[in-house]
Amino acid sequence: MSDSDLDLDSDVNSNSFSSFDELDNSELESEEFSSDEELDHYISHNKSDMNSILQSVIRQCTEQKQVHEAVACVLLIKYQFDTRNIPNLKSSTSIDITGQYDSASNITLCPVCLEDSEMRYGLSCNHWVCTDCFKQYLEINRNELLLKCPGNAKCSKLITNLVYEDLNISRDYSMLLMNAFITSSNRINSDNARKLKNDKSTKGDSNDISDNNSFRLCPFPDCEYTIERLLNTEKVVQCSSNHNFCFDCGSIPHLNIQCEIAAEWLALVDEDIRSQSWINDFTKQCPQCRTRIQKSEGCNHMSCSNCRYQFCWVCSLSWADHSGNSYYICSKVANYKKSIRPSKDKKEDAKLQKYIKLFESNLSMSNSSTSDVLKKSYEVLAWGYVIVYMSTETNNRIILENLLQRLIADIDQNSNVAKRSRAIHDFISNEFEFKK
Amino acid sequence: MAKRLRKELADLRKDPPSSCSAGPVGDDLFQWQATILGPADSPYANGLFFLKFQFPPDYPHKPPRVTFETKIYHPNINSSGNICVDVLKDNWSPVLTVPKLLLSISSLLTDPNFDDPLVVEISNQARQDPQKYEATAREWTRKYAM
Repeated sequence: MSDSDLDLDSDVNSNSFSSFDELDNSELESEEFSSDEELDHYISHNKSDMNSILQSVIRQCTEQKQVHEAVACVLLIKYQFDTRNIPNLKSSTSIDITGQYDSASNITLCPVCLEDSEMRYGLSCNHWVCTDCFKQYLEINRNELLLKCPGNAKCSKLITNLVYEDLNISRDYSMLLMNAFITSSNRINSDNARKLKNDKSTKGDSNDISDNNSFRLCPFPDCEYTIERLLNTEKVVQCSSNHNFCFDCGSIPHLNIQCEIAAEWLALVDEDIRSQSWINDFTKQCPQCRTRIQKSEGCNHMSCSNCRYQFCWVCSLSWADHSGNSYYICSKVANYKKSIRPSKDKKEDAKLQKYIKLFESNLSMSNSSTSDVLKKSYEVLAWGYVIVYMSTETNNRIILENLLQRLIADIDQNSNVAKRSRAIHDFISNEFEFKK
Repeated sequence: MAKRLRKELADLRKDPPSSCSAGPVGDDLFQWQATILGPADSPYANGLFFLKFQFPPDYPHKPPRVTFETKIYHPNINSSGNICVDVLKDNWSPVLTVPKLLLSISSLLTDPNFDDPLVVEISNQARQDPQKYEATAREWTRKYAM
């Protein structure tokens, strides 16, 4: 569990002479980039940490509700891992631990294949289906976590993973379960967050605790880390593999620009640069089963074609908490009145294209920088110009433009310093021989 | 899975349902055309509505894609003919068959679901001015389905 800005200093120093382009950035470092305050806001968990957290949640549910582990898993998924909402015994036991085979004495019609069948399989609801059809049903719905009895359209009896095992249908249940756990929005807080909440509430300061959405898988391809947010005061988080991202939307950090606007802006950016920044705006992985999903048109309410998970296109979180009018807009678009879609007005469009280019070059500089301070400086430049483009507040815009200009000058100056010191370093090591 | 479709087709021919019909288009067993007669107690009465069924390879474990080919003025059916009904999505069950689906769609014509509209304007109109909604629905039925 190493946290965001902890290794900033050592990083900069150890790398500063490693390549010619490298800069000595100690001058650029400011408090904003290394505030210790942020360290407690989140934890980066690896796979095995996450597994133990999930296992303890399952164990707790099994004990509290006095049900079989397989039933507990179904209940947890159904109630989005919020054990407070899971009803007690009577209705919980209505989920069968597993199904049963039955060889009917009199041959019956299978309601699925409409053929006579001898070997049947079913749950305690007695809606029998021939074994082959039941197997096929599970096979095709192997990523479903809340699959219903196939034998009757009105039956809502749920199927546990033990039924899959009983019929030899292989699937990565622990992976599906983990993804469901991470993406469940109503989940009660983990022990870490609860502890913090208790500490804070004694100080009379509990408003900034996020009650939901406290986990997010690092969006970087194949990264194993999951961030647990303890306080939602800071959007940008960094996993233990040093991937920075916005916790709210899973995109690259975008200063304090709303996720919705950042997403719209990133959609305009050149594809090469987007892929460098591991952003893909036209397809997204389903947060639950990780199938790639393409958005063709329409609202942000996505339904995974593979596992039917319902989520928001913009922030990738469960749709359950996007109530009311948020079908097309995920977060509020208040202060930024200007549309960032390409305009028909030629002058306006030329201006937009100019700012897109500016953003792209700074973003790609940020991507290729090896020092954290430079990365962040270019990130500030990239998004700073987006704000300059969109803002309708003239005074602040002029001030911001000025500040950005100065930052560019500072970066240039520092890069000269680094180049010069590197050149001197090389000159010394190549040209001077010291005799002992 | 073609077996189940052949079986459904045979059952349909043996025991054809009243007020609707269905069968494959040409040689392709996975593309069907169906008709529904507008229910008598609805503004769609006397209309003949054509529908297209496209069956996925894993039918009946996954639902067919069903669309209206005849224009219809209905809050749960849009101008491209897409139908918003739970049995074709989340509440699909492999025991549902073509005649059962046609029955569901037919009852959607009698009782539109105003709470989960696909065409918000029509559903708003039906709530605020039900007479105008019914008149337009009848007009469209006369114009496109007769």
